[in-house]
Amino acid sequence: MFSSKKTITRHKTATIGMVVVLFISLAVYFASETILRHAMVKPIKREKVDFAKVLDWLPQKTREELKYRATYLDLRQKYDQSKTKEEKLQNAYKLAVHTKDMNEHNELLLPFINDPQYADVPGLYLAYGRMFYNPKNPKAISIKRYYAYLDTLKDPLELFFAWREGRDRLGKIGLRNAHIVNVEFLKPLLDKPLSFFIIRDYSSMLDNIKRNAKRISNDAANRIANKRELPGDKEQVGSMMQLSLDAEKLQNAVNASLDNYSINDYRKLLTLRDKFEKAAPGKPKLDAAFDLVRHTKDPKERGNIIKELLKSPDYAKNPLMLRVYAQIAGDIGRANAMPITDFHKFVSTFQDPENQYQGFLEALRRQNGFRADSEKKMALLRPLLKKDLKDIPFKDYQSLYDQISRCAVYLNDQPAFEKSIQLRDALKGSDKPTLKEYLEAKKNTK
Amino acid sequence: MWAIAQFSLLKMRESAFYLLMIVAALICIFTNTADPVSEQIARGSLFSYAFSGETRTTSIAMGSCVALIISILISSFYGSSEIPSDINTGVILVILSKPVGRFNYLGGKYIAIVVMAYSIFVFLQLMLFVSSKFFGFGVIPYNSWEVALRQFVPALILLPLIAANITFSIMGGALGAMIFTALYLIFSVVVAFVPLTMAIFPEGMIPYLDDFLFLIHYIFINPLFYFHDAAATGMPLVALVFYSMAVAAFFLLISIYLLFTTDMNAAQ
Repeated sequence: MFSSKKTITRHKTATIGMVVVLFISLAVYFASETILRHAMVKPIKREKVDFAKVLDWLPQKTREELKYRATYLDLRQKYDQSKTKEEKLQNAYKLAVHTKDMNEHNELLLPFINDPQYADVPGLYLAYGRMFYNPKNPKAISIKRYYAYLDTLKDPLELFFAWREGRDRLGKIGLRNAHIVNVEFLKPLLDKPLSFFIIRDYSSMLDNIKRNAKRISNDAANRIANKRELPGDKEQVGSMMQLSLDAEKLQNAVNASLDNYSINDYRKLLTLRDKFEKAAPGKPKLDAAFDLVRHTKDPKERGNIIKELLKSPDYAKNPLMLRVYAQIAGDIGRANAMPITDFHKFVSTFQDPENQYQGFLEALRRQNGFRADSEKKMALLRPLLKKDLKDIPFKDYQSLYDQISRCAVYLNDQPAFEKSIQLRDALKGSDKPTLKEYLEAKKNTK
Repeated sequence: MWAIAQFSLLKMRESAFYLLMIVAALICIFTNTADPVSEQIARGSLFSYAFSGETRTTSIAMGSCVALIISILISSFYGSSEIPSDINTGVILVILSKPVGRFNYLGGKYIAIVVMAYSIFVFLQLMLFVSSKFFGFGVIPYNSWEVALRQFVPALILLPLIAANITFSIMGGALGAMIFTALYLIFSVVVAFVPLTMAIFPEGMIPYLDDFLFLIHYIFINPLFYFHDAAATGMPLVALVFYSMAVAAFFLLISIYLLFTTDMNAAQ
């Protein structure tokens, strides 16, 4: 349309002007573009981006491939940028789960298993679990090696997670004889003492043994009945049934135990222990101690905390200590428990009748929380029967004597019943003040 | 310069133009009953990142988008033929033989097309405002300055686009300009997603190609800037104005260079 013949401009000023405008417009362009681009991408938080949604407009195959690559790169970047050992382990595990390359999977996880510097890293069970048993993985670790790792674990929670991870992994790798391997793996749990099962959720693993062992036994019995007997089937019918019964027995014991925790409860216990250790002296320490002694299921730990606090004369005189001490009322009759008589002695060291009353009340509340039986309640409240009417400062004791009378009926303790009823009725008819009135009067006297 | 612009704007007086405006207004009003642009897109999708910032800002009405498309179309048709027809008919030689420089000629033409495009856009916005305010049409009520001004931000794209259209018209004639402008706009939209996807996806998503694509994206206008919530206020809005002016200036410079170096006699 146009000739390519060009006329040469001689307008020098125009040329210079154009060059100047060109440079200015380029500078303005790059500066403004940068501002706008940053403003546009600033709200994007990559960790919140759902790659599948972002790519949903693409065909499924392309979408899946791109999603895999995006997630892979994201995880790889996080792994490469990991600073702490824990972070590195977590990110290596996530990447290993994501990658489709078995060699890369092994290269990511084996260093954590083989390198002793990672031996104490929390969450190492993830690497072991991922490398566990898989027949398709030539570098997978054996059950024996896994047991050796389990033996090194000290933390009950970590140990539980390692057992659970092993069991779950066996269920995920698609074994044809998964139920047999499952029993094989979990069997050593039956040799553990009840105290080992500090985490109550082991119960589900014992349930696995119970059901799978029964299934193995039934399968063997069926084969024998159908004349398709395999070597060792006769022995298996009995041994596996016995194993199933043993597992059931242990499971019932674990479920009935008062000494174990759910995972969340155990985590809370660890937090409370930490809080107690770090609590400032005075009220914060006693408050933290109260939370811990209430939460822990170990009477020995409860006793140790109380003994430690009583070493300080300030705490021994502090009425808040009564609240802490009263928590041993739930331990009556348990091994390693502090004697309840120690609590009685401690209560009697307080001169203020209000403190004494509150001590007994708190202890009774603790017992009610455990649905303690009459014998235990009587053990707690019996010293109150030694009191005469004149020694009882306020009417609120009525409820305690009423409680004693009901326990006495159950225990067939005639003298205790008569005394408690007598004191209860006498208090009812007396002109003694209630606790509220007593406190008000005390306040007015001051 | 203004005389050239006035001369070009005379075409707006034609009755066909008024008829076109009435039809355009009706289309805008009826499309305005659809949900705003940001509501048309699934949350979390790539397109939602292209339009929405962190904070919820006033949405762009669907009618405004249609008004912008109509403005772009009419200004492209008009801008594509304006200078080539002057060259083909020799009018440009008559004009340039008068004491009118090429700068003034090009400036006049550019201003004329910009004025026309914005007149169309403002007229359509006015229609949308009236239909919303007095007749209750539209999903977004035009009840504040903020809403009204938000509708005008995307229209800033007309500045660089008209300049590009003029450049293409000098290079390739009327038909070529229309095709080049359409292609340039399509590529601009596609390439505009490059910085966005680079921010969303991890580094190395497209090995060796992402740096190249990032360089390529500088050649095209980024239409997403004009629609993104982040550029609706404050510093980014100022940057958007400068960005539009810089791109327009760049294309006009090419145009002026072409006007200086093209043999007008040979075209006849």
